[in-house]
Amino acid sequence: MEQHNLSWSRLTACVTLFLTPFVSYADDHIGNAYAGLSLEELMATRVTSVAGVEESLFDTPAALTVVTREDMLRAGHRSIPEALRLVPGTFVGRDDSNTWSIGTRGFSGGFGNKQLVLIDGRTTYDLLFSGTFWDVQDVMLEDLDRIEVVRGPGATLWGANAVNGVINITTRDAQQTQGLYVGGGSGSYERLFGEFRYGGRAGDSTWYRIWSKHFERDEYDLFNGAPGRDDWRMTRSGFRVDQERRDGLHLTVQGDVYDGDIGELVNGVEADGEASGHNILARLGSGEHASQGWTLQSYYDHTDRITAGGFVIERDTFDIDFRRFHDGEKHNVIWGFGYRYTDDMTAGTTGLIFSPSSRSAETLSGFIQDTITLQDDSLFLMLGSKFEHNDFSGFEMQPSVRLWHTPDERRTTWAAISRPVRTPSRTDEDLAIEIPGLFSFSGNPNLDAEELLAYEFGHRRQLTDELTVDFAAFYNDYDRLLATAGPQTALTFDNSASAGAAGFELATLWRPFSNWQLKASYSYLNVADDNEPVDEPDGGSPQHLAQLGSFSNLGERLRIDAVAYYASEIEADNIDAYVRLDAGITWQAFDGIELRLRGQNLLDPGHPEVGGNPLAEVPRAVYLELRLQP
Amino acid sequence: MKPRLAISRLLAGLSAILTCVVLTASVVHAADAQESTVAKIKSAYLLNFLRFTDWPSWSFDDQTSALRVCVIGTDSLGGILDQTMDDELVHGRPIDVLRVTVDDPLQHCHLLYIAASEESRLNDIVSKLNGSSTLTVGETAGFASDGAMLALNREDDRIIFYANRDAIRAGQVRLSSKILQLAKMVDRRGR
Repeated sequence: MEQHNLSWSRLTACVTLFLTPFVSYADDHIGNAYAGLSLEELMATRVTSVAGVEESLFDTPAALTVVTREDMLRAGHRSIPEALRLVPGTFVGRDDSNTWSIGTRGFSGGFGNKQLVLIDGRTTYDLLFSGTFWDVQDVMLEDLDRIEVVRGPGATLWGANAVNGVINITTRDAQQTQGLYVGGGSGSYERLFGEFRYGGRAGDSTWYRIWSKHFERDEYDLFNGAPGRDDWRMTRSGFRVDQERRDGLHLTVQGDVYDGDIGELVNGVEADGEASGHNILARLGSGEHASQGWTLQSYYDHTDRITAGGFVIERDTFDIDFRRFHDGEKHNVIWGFGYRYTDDMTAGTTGLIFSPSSRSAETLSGFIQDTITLQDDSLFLMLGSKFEHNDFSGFEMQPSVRLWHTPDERRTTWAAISRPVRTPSRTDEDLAIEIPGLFSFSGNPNLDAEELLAYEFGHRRQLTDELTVDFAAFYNDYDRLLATAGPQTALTFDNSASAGAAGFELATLWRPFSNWQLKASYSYLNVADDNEPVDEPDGGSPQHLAQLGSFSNLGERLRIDAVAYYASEIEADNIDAYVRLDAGITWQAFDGIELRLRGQNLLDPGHPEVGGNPLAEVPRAVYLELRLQP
Repeated sequence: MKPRLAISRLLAGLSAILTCVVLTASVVHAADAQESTVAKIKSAYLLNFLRFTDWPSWSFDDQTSALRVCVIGTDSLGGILDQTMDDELVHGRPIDVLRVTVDDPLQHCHLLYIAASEESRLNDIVSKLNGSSTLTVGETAGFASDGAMLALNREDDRIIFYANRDAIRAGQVRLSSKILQLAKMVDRRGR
């Protein structure tokens, strides 16, 4: 009986959410959906072909997904890691209120260390575990431009650790974020949030913005019903200046500073950790559309974290990067080199230390990539390699070769072979855990980089003006993966594991009308490990992921959006399959005043997404948001 | 929750969602129509330009007479421009969309959209409007450097707009500083 009721309520919800655009179709059809946009919004609007795939991306010879600010807001996500749910083939598992396990094409478990994440060109990679602390990666959402996710290796351009994917987050040029914006809201999980931005112009060719945001998020309940005590709050402020100089160069200077409290249960007791940091970046280069030119970028980044359990990690990173590109008739060449210095200080807790407690590391890298036109406008070959020297594993070479065919504007077929590596982290080499008499672990300072030989194939096609299909398949052959070795009392890492992973992602976008867009995707992943690596690839990610999104404009002032996500079970972690339904209504009450009501995980009161101890449940949640843009 | 029950519930939910989407989709697909996103965005720009421009009262017959948006040449906006302006009120006035030629009294237009086809006649058009209260908007960027007040241009996958300060100063219309703030500037010599 209960089952019957559930299906019925689901069906009603679905009919309402997915069918309403049709009801309004007759009204909206004669109007112009863009007519209500402001000048700023029009300037930021990308001209898309009818099916919604940006023309400039259509011939990209890689498994690329772009999540725009609009996509993210309409799907109702309020953080970058949550927005990644929209990417086919990327698994976002929420461990608890402030921790995520995110992996592309597997390896989300463990430390999720096989993908590279960049925010406006600044890498968020932390050498401590060669991964990303997701809880401190944030931008002013209103000023986000896009999140580009490349599934598969991106090492040639981006460097080590871009093994399974690259997540490239960019914010908008200050020129596009002029004026005042104030937004805020409250809800059952999103207890309180508010953000503010002011963008102005100084002189003829300099634009700036300053912004600040704050959020307070509630705790999750544990599987056994007890409170998880993982509530957290964070404040972040920043600025960005963009200048179009008289000499044709574009200068960007930006930075932000943040501080937050992050809750956690420590031995069953509520405790607060703290994370803070600041960074500043400057970039000078030729305009985006120049046929040849260069970019010089440099940044400094400081992060500081004390976990609730008392572990301390502080890091300073300095990075400088130069790129040069020449577009020739037959050859488009891009080359560059970079230097990174990073220095950390850790303070361990009882039984867990890093030895040495403080360590600095330098990375020197260079890359060259040549795109050769084999046949005008239709057949291209890309050859490239990154060369890198790091203090952990020495010299690494990461070559790739890519071939693609674009017989017309509506079809792209591509294939690639790449060999990226994941260089050892501080955890891999320097971690020491000791429970006297019972357990002892120490890192291995003589580790090699983990390596991958990746074979990829993809086909993207615009079947009709309204329907686009994007398919990518891969076979990944991992070698020298980390595995634990030795007895419980003298455990360490070695490079003895290997694994193979195969899978594919299929994504379609259908825009039956200008005011209604449907996105659907399915991805399959099968990992077979010869002997179990540390990341437990088959344990950490679901085999099947699917999603269906409906985005509709009802007239000029009302939007109704819904996205359903499906993830199959994770057998090793004893996690059941689940469907998550998010839905929302956006109402533009007056010009410049917008109200948004969002519901998240509407189908059940709570479910766990990944294994953990304690096991937390992602709850059903609602929030209301008011956005003002005078 | 027993795994079997969980799976059947999932399947039920998924198939319900899929079924209704497919049904909806097949019904509405028949009524589909082509449209041009670029034309919609450009038309929306023109509407915004109207909102942020003030015309002298002598350019109107009375308090409620329409704003006249004229199009000269073979433009790419077609009926989308008419649809966009239809039912809109700007400064309390309705909007009339008119197609004109170089021989018409262009100074009666409040906004004149100059299509790319008029490139060779641009000087004629601009000189005919000398001292009038017509806001001129060119279809491509080059028009702004050649004497139109504003010009739209597609750059990569965005549509942006240019403003020619000298041309704006010479006319009898007042553009809000918002337009000038957001526009890319050109001078007589080009970008």
